[in-house]
Amino acid sequence: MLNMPSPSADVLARRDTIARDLRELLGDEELLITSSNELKGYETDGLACYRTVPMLVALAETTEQVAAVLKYCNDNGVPVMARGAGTSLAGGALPQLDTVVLGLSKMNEILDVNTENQTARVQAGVTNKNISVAVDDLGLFYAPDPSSQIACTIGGNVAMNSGGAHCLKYGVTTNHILGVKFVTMQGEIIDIGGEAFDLPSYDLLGMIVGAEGQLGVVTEVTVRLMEKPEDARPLLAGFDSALDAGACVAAIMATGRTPVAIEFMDRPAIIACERFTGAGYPVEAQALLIIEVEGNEEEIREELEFVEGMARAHGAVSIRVAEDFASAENIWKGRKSAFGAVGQISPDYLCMDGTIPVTKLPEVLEQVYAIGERYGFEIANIFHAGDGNMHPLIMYDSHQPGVLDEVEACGAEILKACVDAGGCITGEHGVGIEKRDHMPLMFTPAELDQMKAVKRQFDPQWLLNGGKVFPLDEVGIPAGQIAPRAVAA
Amino acid sequence: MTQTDALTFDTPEAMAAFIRDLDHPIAVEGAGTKAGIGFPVDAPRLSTTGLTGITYFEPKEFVLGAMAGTRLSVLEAALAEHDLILPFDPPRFGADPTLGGVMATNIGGAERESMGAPRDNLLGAQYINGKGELLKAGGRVVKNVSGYDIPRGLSGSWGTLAVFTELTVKVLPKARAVDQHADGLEPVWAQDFVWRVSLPRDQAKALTQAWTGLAAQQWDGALLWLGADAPQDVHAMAARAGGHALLVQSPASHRATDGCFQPLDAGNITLHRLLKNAFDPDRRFNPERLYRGL
Repeated sequence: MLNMPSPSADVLARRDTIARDLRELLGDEELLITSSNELKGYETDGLACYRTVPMLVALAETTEQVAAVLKYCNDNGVPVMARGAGTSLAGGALPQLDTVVLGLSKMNEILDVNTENQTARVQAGVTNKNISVAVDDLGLFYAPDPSSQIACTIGGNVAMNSGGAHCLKYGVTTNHILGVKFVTMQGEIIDIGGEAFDLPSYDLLGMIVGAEGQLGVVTEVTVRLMEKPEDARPLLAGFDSALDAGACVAAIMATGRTPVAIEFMDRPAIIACERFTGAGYPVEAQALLIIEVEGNEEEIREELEFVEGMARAHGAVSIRVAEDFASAENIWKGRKSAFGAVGQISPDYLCMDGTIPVTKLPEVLEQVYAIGERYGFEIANIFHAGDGNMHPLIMYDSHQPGVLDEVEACGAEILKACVDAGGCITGEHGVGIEKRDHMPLMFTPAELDQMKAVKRQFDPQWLLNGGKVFPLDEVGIPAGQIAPRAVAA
Repeated sequence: MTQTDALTFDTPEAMAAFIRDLDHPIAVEGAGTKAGIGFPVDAPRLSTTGLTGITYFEPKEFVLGAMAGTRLSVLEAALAEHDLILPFDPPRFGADPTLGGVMATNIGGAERESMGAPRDNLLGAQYINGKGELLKAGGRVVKNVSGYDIPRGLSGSWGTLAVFTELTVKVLPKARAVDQHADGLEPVWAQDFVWRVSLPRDQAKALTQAWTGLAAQQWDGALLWLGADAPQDVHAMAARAGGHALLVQSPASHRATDGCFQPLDAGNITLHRLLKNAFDPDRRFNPERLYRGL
């Protein structure tokens, strides 16, 4: 079990005053949640094994309200955390007992779509999918597509630099953000970037995207839109061995003919998905790949031929090509509901997110199975294979006493295997609380201190989404947060 | 200012030790191909050109690592043997820039729309901060959200936050590259003053029509190169169009008084200052090259 910082007794004692003040700042009774029943709705995120009911929830409808709440928290030493849809798999949206949750889900308007610039300006609470839906008629879409895209918000995507299946071709969130409205912990509202392709000097967007909501709160986002391909078609290939499938991925990527997406599932995942969705997956196979290609009719035919040839050369035992939109949707339906499907066959699971060089896929897969066996956990593997982003799901039953410690130890070994193979501990889910204590696998204390120095500049009191990203020190808070270093003006 | 040779070091460790003991500011550069951009920095020069060589190259993974002072021509020759290219193809300014300089300045090339800017292809970096600490960030894989994105955070900082010592970048098969160089660029560069204007595409036409000098465009209008034989307030024009301008060629006397970078609002300057405080608290690197007081 991970420790969280102890709540501040002083802040908890001031709860009623803080609630009164925030209600006044928000200007609407309805926007402040204080009842324990309703607060419970904010106790966890996609990492449901950790739960803490927050002190209060403030629902913002405007950037000015966000600024007012942050300034108040800053002036009064109150911990605060922004929350979109709460879909983080890493505990990125886990509150603490003394936290004011700043809910952004009411800020869900698409403010502007510019077809010539191919940009959209949207509020932070707009869901990822709704951006693409809104511009579909224009032949455009927003490319990064996390599996939770129906629910997750663009604000959350910006905070975590989210990925998704189609990021293999299109890149991740940070490659698609042109501007943000950024609110500092001190309550200042700053417009960064806009509709141009780059920034005048420092890459402030690069610094903010993926900082897990620890530097400030983003209330509006200008995203780059892409032109929809004429058509896209997935191919489903079943293999007798997971290692063959892994080798096939490495071989396809080595040719440089990058498909739009290459997704991998092993047998436990295939069976779970098939039972859950009836997508027609080959249940006899040990592993399957979903490989999507896109373009016009001729390009699709050529690419499918190439991919099918590669799959057969690597021992594919079954191949199914989507003939039309409906069968394509069906193939993706299984994959996109995979996490939910595993949730049906196992009471609980922990999803890892380590990323490795693609050439190392077969060898690291073997290690993952061996580690799972040693700990006695079944592991379902579902991942974005083309970019080496693995999602081993360690299945367990939380009713067994002490099991979470075992699961976390098992996960830690998998992450270490990823780092040893030249990869990293998280490819797209973020560090949150879940991988906080594994950061030293990748970074020296001085390297972590440099990141913390950035945090300390933006939020000297360490009030914004604390207890995450960095290992806690012996007193339960990230080292060095208490006494901000004096800096040159 | 007299032109003396820049200090170089053979290893990042030796360079870090030098920076750790500094009691005065330094001017940080790569090959100096963009030395004519920004306020002149009146300080001894430190160059990364002594740090050279490819450190990691896995053609099947499309990943290349090299020391910061390695010239692009060296990288391109090594990549060509495997039919690979650098996707970001930055403007060369008539010379052979270093990889570190390209990432530190983050100027997008002709194919930026489809291939991304330099920073979009940056996977990892080793760098020296203003305290002289030699640190790593990012890694070798394309998808990586392990901690803050320090490599991108340092891109575009023009050597004012840190000195890159080694970079890891994405490379691409040659077949995917598309050539789309701009027409009319040469006459623009023949002028005394040249601005690079990055702006929303739908503003390009109006801005070009209002411009009395020479102009060339790239990125289907989202990038303009403007040339003139006398100073003009292109920064104001660019700002009105929702974009920004960088004066990339100008007489030194003009640069010394007016600078080259787009003036920023107070909020954005604050954020620049916060990053400066975090990486170079003692103001050792390229003081005031971008903005007065920073």
